[in-house]
Amino acid sequence: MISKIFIIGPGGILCYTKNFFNKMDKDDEVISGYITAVSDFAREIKGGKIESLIFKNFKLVYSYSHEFKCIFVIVIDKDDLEESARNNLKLIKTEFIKRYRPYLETWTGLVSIFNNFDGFIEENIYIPPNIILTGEKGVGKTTLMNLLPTETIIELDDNMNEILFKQIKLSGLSGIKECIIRAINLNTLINYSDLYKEMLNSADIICLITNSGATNLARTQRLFSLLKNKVPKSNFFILANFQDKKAIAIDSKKIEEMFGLKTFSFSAIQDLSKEKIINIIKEMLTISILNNING
Amino acid sequence: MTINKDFVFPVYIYESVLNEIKDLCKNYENEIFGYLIGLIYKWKEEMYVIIEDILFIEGTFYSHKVSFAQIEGTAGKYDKEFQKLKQKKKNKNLWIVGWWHSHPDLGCFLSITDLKTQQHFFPESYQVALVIDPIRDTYDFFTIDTHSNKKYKAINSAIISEN
Repeated sequence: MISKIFIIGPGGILCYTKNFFNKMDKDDEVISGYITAVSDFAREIKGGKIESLIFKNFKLVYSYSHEFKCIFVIVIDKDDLEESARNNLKLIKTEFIKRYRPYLETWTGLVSIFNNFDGFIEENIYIPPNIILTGEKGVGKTTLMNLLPTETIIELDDNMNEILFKQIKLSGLSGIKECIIRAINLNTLINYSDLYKEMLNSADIICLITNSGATNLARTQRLFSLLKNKVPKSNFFILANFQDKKAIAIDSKKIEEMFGLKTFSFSAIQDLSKEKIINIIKEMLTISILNNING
Repeated sequence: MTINKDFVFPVYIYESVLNEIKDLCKNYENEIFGYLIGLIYKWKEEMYVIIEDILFIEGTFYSHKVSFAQIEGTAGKYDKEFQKLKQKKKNKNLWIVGWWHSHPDLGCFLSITDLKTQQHFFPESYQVALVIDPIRDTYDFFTIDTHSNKKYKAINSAIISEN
């Protein structure tokens, strides 16, 4: 997921920056100078250009305009696909140069003219987080989707397997205004993982839904061990559904111990279940994206 | 972890250099070691290193345990090789910016012996220790930290991939 964008002009001057998940950082100008310095030093040493800088948790992907001595940088998660970032960089670079060519040709160091680039970035580059809700048949995926606002769209794959899709608006999260949620059968997801490769690769969160019964939990645990090997970067969570069925439901804390994953207790028939599922989604996003980016 | 904190005194290593070390480590069952060669930069009062080459003298050293005495025994040979490299690259600004060694299937940390080696042979603030576990495919950079109980700490690093 893209967390930051830098466009750096001649002399390391920060022309434009975008932080998707927090406010403008006063240190962004320092970072842009640093990015330029590292790039210059690397060029001095080996003569080549830096393609990317890979840190422990994130990656800086570079693109250059030699004509205007500009550096374009996108900050993504370490495990994100570089190819997608490169496509976005190409889009940003082309549009930026098209819009501001006269200013760049007569570069004076004035950067306020680039402020209106925000609209283009928000409209064309921002990708809402992707969440997959998955579980066996009968664990409550459709009910959960129905609790969420807006219409459910049904997508069918080549094998006529059904995926439920929703794009929901969120409030109260810094930088995340909406998210995309897909619900799919867990066995289908694993059996046709090649078919769903793109969906799995772009998933920021995978939430495994269980009916909290012993048999389903055992099977879900086995399927989870298969699924996690097919997913490069997702954060996994458990939603322990049917917690109202005290006689058969295993307690969510025990489920959390079994899987070693953050587990949310849930019951669709409880009061305020609609609000609760939204809050669970917000907490998953906070844990997996916002905390990761903001430290 | 914020991006800003990660920019504090990092170590940069070229992907090709890191891969060269990884390949060497994979070819030896036992622990091996070599020197890290690079440049030291200062930017806005922060010092950092870019590792652009390595030294590894085949045959002069490798054993079950990298020990203090063994490193001492090869230090002269490494110094000669380093001078040759500087001449070859015609770059007087090259420095020995640390050392690397392997921990096959042991994980990445500094043992007491490693710590002694670091303190004795690589004591400068810019000199780092790179530990590679070729079996678990992990690596980490370390430096001396007299304030911590372990007396060392892991430091942030970044890989430079270039075209």
